[in-house]
Amino acid sequence: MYEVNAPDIIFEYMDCNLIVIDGVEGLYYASGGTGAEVFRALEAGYGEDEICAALKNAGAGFDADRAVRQFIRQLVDYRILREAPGRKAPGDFPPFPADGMDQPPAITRFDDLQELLLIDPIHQVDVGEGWPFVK
Amino acid sequence: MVNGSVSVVIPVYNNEKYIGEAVGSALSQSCAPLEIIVVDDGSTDGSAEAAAKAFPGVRRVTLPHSGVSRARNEGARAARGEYIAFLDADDLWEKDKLEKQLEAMRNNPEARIVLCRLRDFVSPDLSPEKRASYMLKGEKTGYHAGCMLIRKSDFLETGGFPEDRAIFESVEWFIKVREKGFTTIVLEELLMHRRIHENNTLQKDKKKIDEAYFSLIRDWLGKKGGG
Repeated sequence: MYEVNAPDIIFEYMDCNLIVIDGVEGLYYASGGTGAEVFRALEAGYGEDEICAALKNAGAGFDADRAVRQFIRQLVDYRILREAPGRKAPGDFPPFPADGMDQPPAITRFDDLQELLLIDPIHQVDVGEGWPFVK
Repeated sequence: MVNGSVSVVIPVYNNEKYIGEAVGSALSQSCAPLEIIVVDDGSTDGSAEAAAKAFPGVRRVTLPHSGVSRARNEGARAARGEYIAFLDADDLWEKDKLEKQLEAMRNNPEARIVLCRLRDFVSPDLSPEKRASYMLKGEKTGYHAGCMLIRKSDFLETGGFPEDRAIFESVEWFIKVREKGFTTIVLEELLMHRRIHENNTLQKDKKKIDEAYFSLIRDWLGKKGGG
């Protein structure tokens, strides 16, 4: 199981799309279609096997096992998700929407605002202590 | 060296403790500025009065409290110099900051903005225990108002800092500059020092910070997607 690497990582859904922001590194990510749906399932606590099965049931037009494994590895490499052994999802897996099942999950990484975002002291704010981090 | 072409704009909001050093830092430049404008953003602690008393030559613009963006913008509008340099009321410049940036402007006629590098420092007036508790990062490329030299006409052409954004106002402004295609030169020299102290005006509300992040990125993705 996995969980979002909070508080460094924040995310939101906008319609069917996903935006992920890494405030520490000044990076942001965008995903849509199956990427956003699989991320939604992962952050809710569902496991790889459940997600792959659901994709197959929804008629995925790609190798679901391979694609989900690669997608998860990418999210972990990007420090968006971290492993969370023992985490349990809240209930039965909700079905994926039938549309858009032809493309494997993917996420795009952007660093074009990195220098700008990192200069702003806001990324150094510790919610409890203020800025900068207090050791 | 030709003096007298730079207006230094110092916005201040309740920063009586440090504004004298900031003004002194601007006044001691090897290339003297034409003027120093202290924009009082509705201070209640006498910051601007203290600066005016200590430095009678300083111009003063007074506003109701409305945020650093408006204070900078009003200061820029009031400026008489060809160039504008912003300096926050708690920060400091190296003595040759303006000289080096003006030289870069002259040597690079295509340049619209000249930046420098900045480093954070813990205010020396804090207790040793407090000072030791801070963890600072190293030098950074100065996409920060205090690191910038820009022509007044170019600054006004950008429309100024966004007054409706309380967080990331500088980021949004630099994005706007990038979209306009302004040639920006970054000097690899450390010329600006950002003071860390107990009253930095920083947002500590995680929800507001997150909302500001998403608003900024949504807008930027929209622009990129929209061409």
